[in-house]
Amino acid sequence: MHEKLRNIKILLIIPAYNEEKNLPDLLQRIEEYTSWLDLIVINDGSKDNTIDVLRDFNIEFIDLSVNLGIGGAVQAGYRYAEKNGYDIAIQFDGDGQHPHQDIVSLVEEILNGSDMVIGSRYIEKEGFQSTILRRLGIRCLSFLIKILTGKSISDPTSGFRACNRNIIKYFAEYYPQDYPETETIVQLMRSKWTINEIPVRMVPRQKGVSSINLLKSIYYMFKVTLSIIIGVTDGKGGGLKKYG
Amino acid sequence: MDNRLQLFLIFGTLFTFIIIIRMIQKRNLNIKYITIWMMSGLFLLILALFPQIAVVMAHFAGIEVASNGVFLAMIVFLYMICFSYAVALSHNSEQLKTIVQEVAILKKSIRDLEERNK
Repeated sequence: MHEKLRNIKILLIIPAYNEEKNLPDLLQRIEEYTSWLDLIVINDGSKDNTIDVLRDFNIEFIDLSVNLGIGGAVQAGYRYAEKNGYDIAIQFDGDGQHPHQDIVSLVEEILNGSDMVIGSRYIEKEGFQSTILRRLGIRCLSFLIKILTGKSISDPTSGFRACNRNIIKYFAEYYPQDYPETETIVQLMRSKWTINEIPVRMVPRQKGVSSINLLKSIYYMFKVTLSIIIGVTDGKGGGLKKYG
Repeated sequence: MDNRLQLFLIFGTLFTFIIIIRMIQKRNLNIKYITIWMMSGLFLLILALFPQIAVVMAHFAGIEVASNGVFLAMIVFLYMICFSYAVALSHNSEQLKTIVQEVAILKKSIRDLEERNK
């Protein structure tokens, strides 16, 4: 594995909003990877001491002056990856839900030729599976993608994913601002990129509270469904050119 | 149309025009976002001065009372204005997002440079 990676620049993008409690654990756990990949934490205008934690750990970070939301934060990471010539970018949530053991599998799948790889909770149905209601919502989105594009994506909402240089360039240019995960999948499919999934085991959120409530869930489902339908019906690829 | 409504419309639109023009002169308003207000104001003024137009148009649209036609036209204008704001807002937030990201990346470059020069 490490031999293969000698000439490949890999960036781990970690968006963090008010994650002072989760970050120390997380940064310790992924330290072993820093021998073969670079780390960048995007501080998304946190109101707590996230930035001090990053300084204490001497971690490379990008500090957004205002809170842009997950989409804007992740895109800042892709912009950075694009500017600095990274070959592979991996998205990894700052709340510690994503399994660092699977980072290697994601990279391998990209090296095998996928444009984007998603870490899915629902292939082997192991680890943290989220609540019944959210699973139902994810099933619906998955079903919608299946009937509209013919492709099966079991965990379209997963934010644990890796992509190659082509997609990095694409995301640096265009990335949805809120709830971007599902929308980006449809966009990429529309441009005929290959997306694959690998099974991962996620863990429940360590500390702090998830930002999702009932009203947001309704908005989420509506927005994402709309974005899927608009994405699929737009034959021209939304005026976005395919890179590569 | 009732004469009172007619008078109200004439004075109302003229008053609005004066305020808008004053604000543009004081650089508080960007002409770009005001054209649609000016157009709707002009439309109203014409209707107020020549109410027959409203009567004919209302009749043509199958509306019995001319003033209802004027209200409908106003609502349509408001829709258009609101929509133009949604477009402008989307554009602005996209630009703002890009600027925040670029500034953040620049801040990192500056930190790295300072680090190297130490």
